[in-house]
Amino acid sequence: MRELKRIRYTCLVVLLLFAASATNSYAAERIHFLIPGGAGGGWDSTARGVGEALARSGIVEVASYENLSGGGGSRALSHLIETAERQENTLMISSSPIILRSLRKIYPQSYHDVVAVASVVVDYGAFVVRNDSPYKSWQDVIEGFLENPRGVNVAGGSSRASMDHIVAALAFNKSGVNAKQLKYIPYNAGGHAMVGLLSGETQLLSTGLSEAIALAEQGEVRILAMTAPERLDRVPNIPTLAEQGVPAVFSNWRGFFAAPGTTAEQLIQFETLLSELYETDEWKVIRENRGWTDFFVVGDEFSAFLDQQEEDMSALLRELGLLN
Amino acid sequence: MIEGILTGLYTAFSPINLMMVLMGCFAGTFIGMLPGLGPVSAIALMIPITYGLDPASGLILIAGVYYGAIFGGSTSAILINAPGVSGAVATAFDGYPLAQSGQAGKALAIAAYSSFSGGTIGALLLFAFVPFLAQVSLSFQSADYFALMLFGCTAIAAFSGKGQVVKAILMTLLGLMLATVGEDPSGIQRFTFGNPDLYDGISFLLLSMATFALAEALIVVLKGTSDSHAASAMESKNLGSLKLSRQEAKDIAPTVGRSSILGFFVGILPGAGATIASFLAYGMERNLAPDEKKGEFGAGSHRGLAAPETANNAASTGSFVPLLTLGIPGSATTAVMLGALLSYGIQPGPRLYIDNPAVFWSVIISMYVGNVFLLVLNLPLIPYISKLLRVSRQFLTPIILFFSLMGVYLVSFNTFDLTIMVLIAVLAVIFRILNYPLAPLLLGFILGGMLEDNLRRALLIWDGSFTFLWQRPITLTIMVITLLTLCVPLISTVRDSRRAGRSDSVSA
Amino acid sequence: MHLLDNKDRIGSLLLLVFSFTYLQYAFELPIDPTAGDESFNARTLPIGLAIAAIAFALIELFFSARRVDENRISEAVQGFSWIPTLSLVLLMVVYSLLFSKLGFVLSSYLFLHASFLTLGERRIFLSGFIAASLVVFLWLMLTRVFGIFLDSGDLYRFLFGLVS
Repeated sequence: MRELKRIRYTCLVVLLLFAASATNSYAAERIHFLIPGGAGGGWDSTARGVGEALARSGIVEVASYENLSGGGGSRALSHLIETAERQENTLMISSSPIILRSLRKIYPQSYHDVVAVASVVVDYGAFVVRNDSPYKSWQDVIEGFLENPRGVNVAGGSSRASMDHIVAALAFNKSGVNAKQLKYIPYNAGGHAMVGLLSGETQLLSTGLSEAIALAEQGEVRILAMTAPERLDRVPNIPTLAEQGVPAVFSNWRGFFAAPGTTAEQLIQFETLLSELYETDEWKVIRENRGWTDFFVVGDEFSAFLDQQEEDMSALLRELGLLN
Repeated sequence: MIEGILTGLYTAFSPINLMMVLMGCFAGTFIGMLPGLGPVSAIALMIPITYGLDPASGLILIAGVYYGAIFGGSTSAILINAPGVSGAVATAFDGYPLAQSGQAGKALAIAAYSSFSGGTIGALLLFAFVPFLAQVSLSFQSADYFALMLFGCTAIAAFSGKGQVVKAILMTLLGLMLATVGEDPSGIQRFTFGNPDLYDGISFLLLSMATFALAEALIVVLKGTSDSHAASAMESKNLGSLKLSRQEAKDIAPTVGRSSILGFFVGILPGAGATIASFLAYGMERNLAPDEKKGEFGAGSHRGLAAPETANNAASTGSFVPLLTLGIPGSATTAVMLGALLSYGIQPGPRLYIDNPAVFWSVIISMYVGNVFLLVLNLPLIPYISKLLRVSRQFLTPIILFFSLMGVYLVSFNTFDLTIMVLIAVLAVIFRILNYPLAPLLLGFILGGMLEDNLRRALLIWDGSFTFLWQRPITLTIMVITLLTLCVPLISTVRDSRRAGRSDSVSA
Repeated sequence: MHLLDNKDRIGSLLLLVFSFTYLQYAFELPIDPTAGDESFNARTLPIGLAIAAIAFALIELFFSARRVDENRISEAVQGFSWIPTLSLVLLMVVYSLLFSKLGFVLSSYLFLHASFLTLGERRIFLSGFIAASLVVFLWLMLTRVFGIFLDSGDLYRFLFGLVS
């Protein structure tokens, strides 16, 4: 009987040690990703892709992931701010909507309250039509819109006044037409919006370029234009809006933020970590399979880029009457 | 095509891949049994693990996980009334009462057989019609989806027994009202009271765990030991028995056939999916059942269990049509599947089927192998799984409460949700005591969001006019079927009561 | 009190009150100013639902008035064990409040053990062992096998430092 008790006790001690040793690794060897959305989403797959490449190539020892969805992404942001003192190894992933939602006061905080580290990948807005569409170029769309604004249904994979709608409004606005008249049809996911386009109930789709490329390569749809500053090496045949005379450039970046109070030293550590990531083969494989485009903007340059995007968006929202 | 199928089979049955599917099924069943961790999280969690594997093995592992998680979800719905994914809600309607009457093993076996048959018939339909199906999945527009969701709502008729019609409608409306919490399609926050925790709305999981699992567990405690019937049922020797009599098998066979076909075609539609399929199949079976059998629905009907289980698996197979032939994910599950395929360098779409049929068929065969192995693996385990119910109440109830709370926490990682959940559970208990049915609440909640989204889109597209209701043939057809479903039982009740009245007057 | 001792009546009254409150808020919902020409806006469905619910609740109330002596609540709840049920509810609330303070392992263990005892389990050590092993097993599976991050809790951080 006593023997049994001793065995049980030993087991317990071993378990406790195991638990303790697992959580007490050294700071520099582990990195923790805070993901503002659920498992399987866009933020999640980017963070896990980056973390996986970092861990597999041996740049960090352990990468852990915390999915903190809720509040349209604001819970993760406030969590990072509130618990800043114990988040020294934490990177929160975010993307352009963080700016949009802060401007629209959906988030009580904004990216100014955390420390911008770097962006890693970028996607651009793309405008897609069906193969049998009469629109052959962006100019055709604008002409069609001028003829009958109610005749161009623009599909997008998120609600009004969020990403897909704003990018479409930007393109129409810069084309010199009244984007307030835009008939935007919201779907609850990019895939559903694509089905809406293919089923013929909408004429134009505003979506992310990487999602659109995959389907265009399959020959189902044509991409009329996209919002990158210049043509991309990967898809040299897709024209930009800029070259069609529409100065609408928009980059939906995905990047990382650190807790407020992060020291300059730690920042540099994060930056070297991510720049090392770009050299690894693991990253190249993951990036290519997912169709991501590298977009490495670091530190002050990243902050300046964010400020510019915030300014542009706020001007656009004001013009559309979505912000007072 | 044949060559592609053979290559697919060959890769699937290599020893390493068989190992993978075994591991996948086990891991998937375990994850799926935790309410809250459904196929979506199970696959998302597995993707990083499969980065190092070659595509065929990775895919087969994913297939095992996928079917395992679906089966795991049905298991918790049947045993502890905890449907963790919306596709399993209809499974709980009859599965739980059946398990409570001491036939847990039989309930699980029916679930396993019917989901296997659903998957098989679905796969056969896929083989036969794949080139034509892509067009079918694109033929539905928002107006048609609106009509389909409305048709889905007629399933509430299945929960309205005698004198319950008004109550069932009221609870459906309550569910629809709860579904309006959160950001609406025009980007406006509704009923959030400025609380960020409510911006994304009330989650399905939270509501279903609170109203089904927690409420049921609390009711059991509330009724206390006075309810010795259930206790003796659990002691029954047949608890773990899988045996179905020949008559019982014969009884559910037509149900399985009908539900597979219905489920498969609903599954093809990217905007509908497994949940709608399971509700429609459940409603259809009840409507088709002879009057004396209608009463069994909701009280442990074999058909009522087989129908949704078959339909949701056939629908899952069907949902591979838009995914593989168009590259479009129709649901959260297929979206994460798409992520998995992309990470193996497989880009689904029309070209995949034409240019690379071997890959196309090996994806489908891997999924099917997952389906087969799940059945082979799980049937022998069912007697042990169902003995879970024999755990004494003072242990089982807290464990059910704990797992339900954990399930919700593991999705949102928000303890605020747990408090809300307890509150909703208490309200649900009150409604249970007042004899208001809770299934329509969940049905209304699930359909509510989709109903409004599609209606608003249709109205936007048709410039605010309701003419789509009769100008689109598909919409019109579904609306007519909906009206018939509602009116036929009404007419027959009126006729019956008139006949009864007449005979009364004669006898008087 | 006798008038309220009826399931249908209480139920429909509850829903009536809820629907009226909901309707009031529905009228106050903002409308997107840029989508002014749309006939169907953020308020349309909620208002419609609330009105329908009020109508049906009134119907139910009306019918319940004719069945005065049926469906007594006082009969239905006879012999209910209120104390263990309410204790469980209380334990769940306490669990949800303590979760982030004590962390997953400790708070879950306490919740399980306390609930076992609440439901009349007498064997303190056995029930403690079951609770502990279940929690530790789940914790190991979730964090070590599936790589899900679980909050270790303020207490743990207080005792073992800040590394999360």
